Amino acid sequence: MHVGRKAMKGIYRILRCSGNCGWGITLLTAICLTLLSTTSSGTGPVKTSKHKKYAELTCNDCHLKTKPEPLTTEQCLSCHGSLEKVAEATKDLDPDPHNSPHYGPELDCDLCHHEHSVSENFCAQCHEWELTVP
Amino acid sequence: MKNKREKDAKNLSRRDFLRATGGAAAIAGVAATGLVLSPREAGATELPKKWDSAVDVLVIGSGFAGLAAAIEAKAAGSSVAVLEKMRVPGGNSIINGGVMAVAGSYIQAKKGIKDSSDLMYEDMMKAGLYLNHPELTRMVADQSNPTFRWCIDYLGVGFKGLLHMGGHTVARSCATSTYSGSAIVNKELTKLKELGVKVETGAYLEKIFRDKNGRVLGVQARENYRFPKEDSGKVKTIKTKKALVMATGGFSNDVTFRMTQDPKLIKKVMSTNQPGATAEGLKELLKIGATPVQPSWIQLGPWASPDEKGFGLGPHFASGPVFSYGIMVDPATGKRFISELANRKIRADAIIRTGHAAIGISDHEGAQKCGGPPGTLEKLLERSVVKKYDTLEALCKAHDIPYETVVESVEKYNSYINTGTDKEFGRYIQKDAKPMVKAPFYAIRLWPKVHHTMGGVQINTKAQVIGLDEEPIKGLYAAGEITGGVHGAVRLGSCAVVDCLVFGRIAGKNAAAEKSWS
Repeated sequence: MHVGRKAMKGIYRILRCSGNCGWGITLLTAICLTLLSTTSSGTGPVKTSKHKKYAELTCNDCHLKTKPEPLTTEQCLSCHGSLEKVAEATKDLDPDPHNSPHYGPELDCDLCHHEHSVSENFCAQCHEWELTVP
Repeated sequence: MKNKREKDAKNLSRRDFLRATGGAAAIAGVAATGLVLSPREAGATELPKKWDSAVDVLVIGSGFAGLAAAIEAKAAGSSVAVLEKMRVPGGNSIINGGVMAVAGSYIQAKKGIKDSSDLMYEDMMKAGLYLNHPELTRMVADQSNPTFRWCIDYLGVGFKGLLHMGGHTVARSCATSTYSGSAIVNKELTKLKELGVKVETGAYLEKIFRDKNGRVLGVQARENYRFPKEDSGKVKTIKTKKALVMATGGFSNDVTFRMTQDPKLIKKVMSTNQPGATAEGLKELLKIGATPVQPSWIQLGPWASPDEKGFGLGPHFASGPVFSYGIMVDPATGKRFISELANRKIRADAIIRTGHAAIGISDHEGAQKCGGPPGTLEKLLERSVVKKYDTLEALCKAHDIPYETVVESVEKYNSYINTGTDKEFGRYIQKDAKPMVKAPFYAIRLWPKVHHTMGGVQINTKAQVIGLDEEPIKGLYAAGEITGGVHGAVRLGSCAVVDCLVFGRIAGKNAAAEKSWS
C-alpha cells in the first residue's frame, strides 16, 4: 500500500487531536480501509493496462514523460485518427455508440473506455441496451 | 464513551459553535455596523485576491436556455464563456423530446388550425392553477412564434409534424425532425462555434461573489470537475464584468432536495432526467438571497413506462396511440379512470392513486400514430416496453385485467368517436380517430416518473433574478428550469423548450447590455 506523505501527515494530526482513546483508533482503521479501497480501485499503482496487454505499448507511449494523468481525447486521437474515423469502425452497429443521436460522434473516449479499470457504457445511464465496451 | 461525548459537547465553546455555524461572521457584521445584515450584505463574500480570467458575460449551464443566452450575448458584442458541470454539453435539453409549443406557427396555418398567443397563455395559466406569474407566462406565449422562427431562420433547426399534447386546446406542439432536443441544442452549439464561444464541459460553479451592494462580480468554479465528486478538479476564479447568467436547470434527479420539497418523491421513484439534474446551482442562488418561487411543484410524467430507463421511447407510444387514439385503463377494474388528455399532474396523480401501473391500450389503427423517430414502435416491441396481442382477450389475460369490462370500456370509447363527445371524462376526441376494432392490440404499462421542477428562483420579464429585498440582484440573470413562475403548478408538455429559449435569449441580450463594473 502506498500512502502519500500528505495522507500520513493527516493521519498523524487526527491521532494527535483525538488523544489516547478508542475513537482515534477506530478512525485510523476507517482511514486505512478507505485508503486500501481507493488503492485497489485505480488511484494507486496500476495493475492492468489494456494497451500494454493488447498493443504492447509502454506507459510512456500514452503518458509521454508527464505525470501519469488521465488522457485527453485529443491524446487518444493522436493514434486513433479522428472521432469520425473511430465512428466509421462501428457504423454497422445499431445503436452506434460512436454516433449518438444526441451528441453525434463528439463524446470523450474515456466516458466509456477505461484503460486501467473496467470500461462502462455511458449510454446505459439512460438506455438499456447491452454493449461490450473494450 | 458516552461520558466523553457529553463532556466534549459541554466543552464546545461558544466561539467554536459560532465558527461551526457561520454565526461568527454575522456577529462581526453586527459589531461593525451596529445593525443586523441586510440580505444584500449577507450575500457579500470575501473576494478572491486575483481573478484567473475575466469575461463580459458568463453563462452557467449548456441546455436550451444557457446556449440561447450565450448566443444572444455574443451576438450583441460581449465576450462570453459557458460552463457546463457535466462532461457532455446540453444537460436535459439534449436528451429531451424536442417538441416546442408555438402559438400561430406556419405548421398550424398549413393544417388550418386557428391559434393565438392569448389561447396558449390561457392554457398555460389554467394548467398552472393560476399560480403562474402571469407576466412571465404572457412573455413565453407572445414570444413563442418569433422564437420558433429564430430557431428555423437563424439556427437552421428543422421541424416537422404537429402534436396535440395534453392540456393544450389545439395542436400546437411542433416536433423537431428527430424528436429530440438535440436537434435544437446541436444547432445552438454549432452557432456558438461559429461565433467563437467556448462551451467548457466538466466545469462546476462553486460560489458566486458579490460586493457589499449586492452586485455579482464573478464566480469560483472547478475545471476538470468530475460529477458528482465535490472536490474534484481545480479551483479557478472568473470575473463577470457585465453579468452572470444562471441556467443550471431543474432538480428532478436531486433526491435529497426534491424530497425536501415533496417527501413522496423517494429514491425509488424514477426520473426521466439526466444524472446532473441536481440543485447545486439553484441552492447557490438561494444562498446569495434570491427569492424562491414554488419549489414544491414537481411534475411527474404520466406517459412514462416502468419497463425502461429514463424518458425512453414509451412516451411516444403513450402520447399518440394511447392518449389520443386509444384508452388507458386501471388493470384492477378494466375501466378508464381519467381523461387521457388531462394535464400531466391530473393524469400522474390519478395513476398513482390506483396504487399500480395503468395499462394503455391501442388497436392496430391507433398504433400507426406512434410518434418518435422512425422505427420507434418496432424498438418498443423488441424491448418489450410495448407488447402486441392477436386479440383483446389475450391482452387482458396477459395483464390480468377483467376482459368484459375492458370490452365495455372500448365500446363506450368507440361510441364517443361517433358522437364526438367523451361523456365520461370530457376528453378531446381526435377528428381522425377510428373505432378501436382492428387487431392486433397493443399494451404499455404506465407509471409516472419525476420529469420537471416547475419552481425555482424569481425572475422578472427581463430575466433578472429578484432578491429577498424585492429588487433585482445586480449583474445576475436566470433562465429556464432554474426559474419559477412561468408554469405555475403544472407545466404543459412542450412549454419548457419554448420557455427556455425565450428567457434564455432575453437573459443573454440584457446581460450584454449591462454596464461593465471593471
